[in-house]
Formats: sequence, structure tokens, C-alpha cells
Amino acid sequence: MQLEDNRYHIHWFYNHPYLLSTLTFVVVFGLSFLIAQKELWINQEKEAHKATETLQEVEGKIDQILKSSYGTTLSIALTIDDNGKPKNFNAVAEKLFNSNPNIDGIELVPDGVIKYVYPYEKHKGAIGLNVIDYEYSKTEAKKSIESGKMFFAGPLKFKQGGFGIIGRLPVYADDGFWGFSAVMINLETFLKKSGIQNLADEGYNYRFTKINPNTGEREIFNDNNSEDFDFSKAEKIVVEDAEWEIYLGQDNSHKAFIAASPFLIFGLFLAFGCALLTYVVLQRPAQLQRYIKLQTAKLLNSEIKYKAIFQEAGMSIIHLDENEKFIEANPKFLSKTGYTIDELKGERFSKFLQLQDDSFKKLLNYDKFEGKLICKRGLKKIVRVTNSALEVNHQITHILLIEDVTKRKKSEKKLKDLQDRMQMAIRISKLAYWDWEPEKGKIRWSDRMYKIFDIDKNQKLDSDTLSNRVHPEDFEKYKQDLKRILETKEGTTLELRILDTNNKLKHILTRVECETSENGIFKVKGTTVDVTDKKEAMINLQHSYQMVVEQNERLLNFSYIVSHNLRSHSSNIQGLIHLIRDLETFEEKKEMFNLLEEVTISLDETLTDLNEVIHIQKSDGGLVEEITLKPFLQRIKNILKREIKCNNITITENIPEGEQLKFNPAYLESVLLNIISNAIKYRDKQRNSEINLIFSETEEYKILQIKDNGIGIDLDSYKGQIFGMYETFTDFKNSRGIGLFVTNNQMKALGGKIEIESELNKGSVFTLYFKK
Amino acid sequence: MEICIVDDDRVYQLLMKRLINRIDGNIAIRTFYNGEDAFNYYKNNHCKCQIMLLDINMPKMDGWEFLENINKEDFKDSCIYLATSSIDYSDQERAKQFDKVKGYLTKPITKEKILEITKE
Repeated sequence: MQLEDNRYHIHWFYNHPYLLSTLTFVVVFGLSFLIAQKELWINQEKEAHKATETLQEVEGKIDQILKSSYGTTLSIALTIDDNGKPKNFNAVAEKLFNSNPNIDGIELVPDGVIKYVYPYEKHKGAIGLNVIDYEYSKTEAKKSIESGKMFFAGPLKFKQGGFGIIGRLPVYADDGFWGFSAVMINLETFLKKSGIQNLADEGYNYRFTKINPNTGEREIFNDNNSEDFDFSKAEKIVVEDAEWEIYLGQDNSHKAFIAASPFLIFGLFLAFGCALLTYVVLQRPAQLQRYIKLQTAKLLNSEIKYKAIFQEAGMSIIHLDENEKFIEANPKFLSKTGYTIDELKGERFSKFLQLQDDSFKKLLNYDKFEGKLICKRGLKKIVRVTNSALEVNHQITHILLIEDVTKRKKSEKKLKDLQDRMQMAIRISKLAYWDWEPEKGKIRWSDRMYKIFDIDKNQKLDSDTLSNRVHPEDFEKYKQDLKRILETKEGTTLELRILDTNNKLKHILTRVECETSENGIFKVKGTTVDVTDKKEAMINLQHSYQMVVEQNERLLNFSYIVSHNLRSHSSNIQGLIHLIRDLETFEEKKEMFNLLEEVTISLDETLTDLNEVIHIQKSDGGLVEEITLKPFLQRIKNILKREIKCNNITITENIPEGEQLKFNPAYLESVLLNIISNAIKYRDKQRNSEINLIFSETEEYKILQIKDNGIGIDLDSYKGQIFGMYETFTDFKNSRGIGLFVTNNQMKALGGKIEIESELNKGSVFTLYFKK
Repeated sequence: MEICIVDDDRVYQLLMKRLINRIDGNIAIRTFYNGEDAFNYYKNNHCKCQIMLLDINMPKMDGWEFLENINKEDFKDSCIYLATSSIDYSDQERAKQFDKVKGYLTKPITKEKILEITKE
């Protein structure tokens, strides 16, 4: 308590540097003032003492002047003889005058009338003046006569000029009063000789004064009369045998003051200096004090904040001592776990924590750890704990932040599962993925991508890596697709054929997505699947489908043939037989029999055709041989020699020497005969008929084109029927609609095909494709 | 009375001519070998025949095309019968779509059938 009080007082001083320095100033200055006062007193004392001495000195001098004056007047008076006449006045006066420096003139005044003066020239103006009658001197002259003593009259104005005192000694002869023996002393001389003048120079104030006997008023004769003068306080010099008075005033107080003032000024400075020093000295503790105050406020604030955080935090916080025992737990922790603070206090935290790893025994040695928090009803929560040690007064405690990560752990597990599943899906689906930053030329491939292209994983990737592998036939399309993607920045799906490093053809299906990130980086990315197997399966399927369609077509053809052609013959036969029965005459019957024969021949033809068609379709093409084209064509031309010649047909060939085909010779003969004879049959009679045979080849096929300039076929109307059975487009008698049907079937039977281009009145082109 | 036969089967045409002559020698018979010929003939002439026997399967213009192209007005006095060897059900169904077609006859056409259609 005492300490605190003291501290409080000290604090008070620290806190009031201004006040304290002001106090210092006042005290020091006060002391200085007292010293100065004392000094002033001493000075004044000194001055007073000096004044007394001076006064005595002046009094002595005046006395001396008066006495010498008395001597002089007496000496002069002695010159007067018995007759009442002065003897040798001038000589004696001269002697006396020279020996007495205090006087300015000597005179003898018998019977009150001035008769003898010395020095004559100076005072001659006064001769003849009756002093007993003269207005200015009569009173004092009379007084002198009455007292019988020397009397110093004045100061008065001399008749002969000048201003001063006259000392008159009444002289008595045997018969009574003779007159006066007098000396004249100029006031100036008097003041000088008496030392009064010196006093004035030394700073004394004096007054030479007299009560006017006529008026009763005080007159002052010295010219130094401007200041007020207190007569009651002044020292008075008393002169007997005179009415004038001398007052000496002490006018030296200011002098004393001036003498003391350096003390005051020094005191002022000293006080100021001390005050400043005090202020400076006190200021530092005051600053420290303020700093402490600020820190205290901060600390308090932190404590409030800490309390708020501890109490209100959305996170569990607990406070443990160094033995893991609970000191405090915040409400969040309590509500999370369901415990009350009383249940926890004194318990070790590790009792409530189940660690995943038993290896760390001393929990508090770790900054971070995870474990399962055992709550009140055996409920377990996965928590992440952050530990921070606190050292207060050498006592270590721990603040533990406990974060419930159960949900996060669950979602992490979910995410992991999802990731695993996704990776599995990618693995199973053999999906490759990649991305490409066109601007930087950065390309990334997944492992599957390298597998598809059969490229080593360490090979550096660039935009050519892929384009070099694109199948030549798809390259143009690939280039255009790429250009379009980069221009439109729109995703798409591409189907490409590529050749892997072993030149194995692969079909790939690529889904392309475009993406421009927030920072403006444009990326193309996507997935790629090797669809070679599917593609091949699809091609096979398509082949099968085509085969089925063709089979179906043939079936329809057959049903058509059955329903139309065969039935038309049978119905004709039926009709003829009905008629023959009805007919009576043999002639008539014979005609019908002829018709019947015609019908049976037609029926036979139809059956032969059908047989042929079935044969072609059933067979796998029979015997396939290497056929050299040129000589083979020559044989065909020989067969048709007659028609060619009769109809003036020009046949030109554009076939390389020794060119060979793999085909069934019987079929090839049938096909060529059919087409060439058609060209002849359907020639345009308006112009010279020309047939042109041209050979060419692609990778897959050897191609033979047969061009004519015949009447042509209106393909707009008959397309699709051209190669059908029993399709005819003219009224030609021998058009049976079987030739092209057979030809088509023969070509197909050996993996080839036939195509037609035609224009009415211009001609037709039949193109035969022979599989290589 | 006039009967018109449009058919590319020469034997059938001869057979029909004989058959119709035997029923009634006064019946006139006009024949065409395909639909196009018949169409060109009747394009600008009013058809004067009472009965037309139209085959379906013919070169150049078949029976169906003929039916699609003719002007109904020109045939308002005529009864068109489809006479075909086809016993295909789809053909019979297709014939019903044409209101100009009076009936569907399956070859062989007998004397009784001719009598039947000439009576109406």
C-alpha cells in the first residue's frame, strides 16, 4: 500500500512536469529575490552611513566658512580708528580678501550706508546703499543690530549684481553702534566651498532654502529644484546666525536597486534554467508513464479481445496446464463435446483424445496433431488440434485450438473414392486425354495417348507430332477442322484415321473442348478414344447390312419375277388353252398353238435367265484368272465383228500394254459383251457411233470405263431401276431387261461393282471396278 | 362399243383380240404397247372407248405413271380396269388409291370376265 502510494506520488510528479517546473521557477526566483532584497538593504545602509558622514563634512566646511568670514569682518572692523574712520582700508581688505578664499567681497557700512568696498570695481555699485532702509536687507540688518552678533543674511540679490550671502558684523564704537563690517559670499562660491555642490554631483538631492521674512513663504535658491522633495525626511544642516537652511535628501534608493538588479536578473535566469531542467528531467518519466498507460490499455484491450474470442469463437478452444490438465474450455468446446467445465477440470486432455498414432505420448510437445475426440456419449469426432504454448511468469500453459474435421475427412474420402472410380473408368474405357496451349505450343498427353500413337513417352511433343500421324486422305480435313477450332474457339467431335509408328491404321474419335481461362490463356483440350475395333466392326456390319439389303433386293426381284414374268407366261398359256377349247376350226386352233409355242419359248428363256442369275449369286465367282486386257478385248470384238462392221462402229482403246485383271474370264466376257452390244444396240443413228475403252486404277480397284455416244438413258426417271431384273426403258423388241441385271450380279460376285453416268441423246459411261 | 388394251405382251394382245371378237364381232379394239404411247394418244383426244384394260408393268411408262398423268376429264366416259398377271397384294392395294380405276383383273382374262365388264 505504502509502495503504491509512493508510486502514486511519483506518478503525480511525472504527470505534472509543467506544474513542477513552474514551482521550481517560483522557488528559485523567490530565493534570488530575497538575496537581492538583502543586498539592497545592505546597500541602503551603506548609503545612509555615507550620507551622514558627508553631512557632517559639509557642516564642518560651512562652519569653517562662517568662522573665516567672521574673522575677516572682525579684522576689517579693527581698522576703524577712534574717529570712526577706517585706516588703510584697501590695503587691509586686500590682504584679508586674498587670505580668505571663501569670500567674494569685503565692505564697511558705517551707519548702515555702504561706504567702503573691496574689490572696489566689482562692488562699487553698492556704495551709498543704506542697508537698514533697503527693502531686501533691512529686516536682517536690524536683527543683526538687535542681537549684536554677526548674522549671515540672504541669500539675496546684490545691488551691484550677483546673488549670495552677506555676513554682517555689527560694530560698536564708544558712542554706540558704528555700522557693519561685512563680507559678501556668492552663493555659487558658498556651495562650492562648503562641498554641497559636490554632494549634488554625487547624486544627493539638496535644498538651499529660507522662509521669506516678508512673505512667510519658503524660497528655494538652488536651481536643482525640479524633483519633489520631502523636507520632513531630509537631513537638515543647522546654521546659527542665519535664517537660511540646508536640507540634504537621500536620493540614492534607485542606485541601490540598480546594484541589486544583477542578482534579480541572475535569479531569473537561474530560476528559468532550473525550471527547464526540471521539465526536461520530468518529461522522460512522463513519456514513459504515458507509454506504460498506452500499453496497459492495449493489454486490457487484448485481454477483452482474447476473452471475446475464447467465449464466442466458432472454434473449440481449451486451455491446459503443462500436465495436459484442463484449466478452461470455451462454450463451443463444451457444447461440441457435451461435457460441463466441472467434469473437465483437473482431467487430462489425452483422456478424451484417441490418437491415430500411439507413438506420440506427450501431446503438448507437438504443434499440430489429429485424433478422435471422445465426446460425452461415446461419440467420436475427428479433430485437428493446433497447440500454442503460453509462458506467463515462468509458468507454461497451452492454448489448444480444436477444429472438427469430421465432415472434411468424409468429403475427402468421398473425393478420393470418386477420383479412384474416375481413374478406373478412364482406365477401363481406355480414354486418353490431352491439352494444348496453341500460343506457347505446350502439349500434354496422358499415358493412353502415347499408347494410341505408339510413341515413346519420353518423346518431346509438338503440333507436328499429331499431324505427322494423320492419314494422308484425312489430312486436308484435319487441317480445316483445326483451323476452324482455332478460329471459332468452339468444341467439336473429330473422327480421324491415323497411322501409328508401325504404320498401322487406327481410327480415333476425339472430343475437343476450347477453354479461355481468366487470365486470357486459350487452351484446347479433350479426350481421344481408339475406335479402330468399333470402326472395323461397324464396317463389317455395314457390309453385312449391305449384303442383307442386296439379298432382300434379290428376293424381291424373285418374287417380282414370280408374280409378273412367270405368271404372265402361265396366264397366257391358260388363256390360250381356254381359247383353243372354244375354237372350232383347225386353222384357228393352229394359230393359237403357234402362239402357245411362242409363250413356251419365252417361258424357257425366263427360266434360263433365272437359272443364270441364281448360278451367279450362288457361286463365289468360280475360277479367277489373271486376264491380260488387250488380247481379251480383241476376242470380244471378234465375237461382235459383224455388228461392229454393219453399224460402222468405231472402237478406241486407252489401255496400257500387258495390263492384267484378276477375274473370271466367262464373267468378264459376259459383262463386256453385254455392255458393248448394248452400246451398239442403243446407238444414236444420227451420228457416227464411237465406243471408247479407258483403263485407270486406284489403290483398291482397277477401273475400266466404256463410253458411248448413244441415245443415253434418262437417269432422273430410271435411276435405281437400271440394274434391276426385267427393267426395260425402250420398246426395242429384244430388250428383255436381263443383261445389266446379270452384269451387275457378275461384277458383285467378284467384289467389284458397276456404275453408270448417262445423259439423254449424249451417251452413257459404264464404269467397271475390279477389286485388286 | 370400243375396248382399249394397253400391254407390252404381244401374245396377250393377240389372245385378247381373238377372245373379244368371238364374244362380239362389233366391238372395236384399240391397242398400245406401252403407257407412253397411250398417254400421247389420249393427251388431246377425248377417250371414246368404254373399257380400258391397263397393264402395270410396261417399258417407258408403266400403268401407275399413266394413271398419274392422264386428265380425268378425258376419261369420264371410260371404265379403266387394271389387267395384270401380278398377284402381288401390294399392287391390288395401290390400285384402290386411284378412283379412276374401276377394277383389278388378274390374268388370264377369261370370256366370262369380258362379258361381265361389258354388261355394266
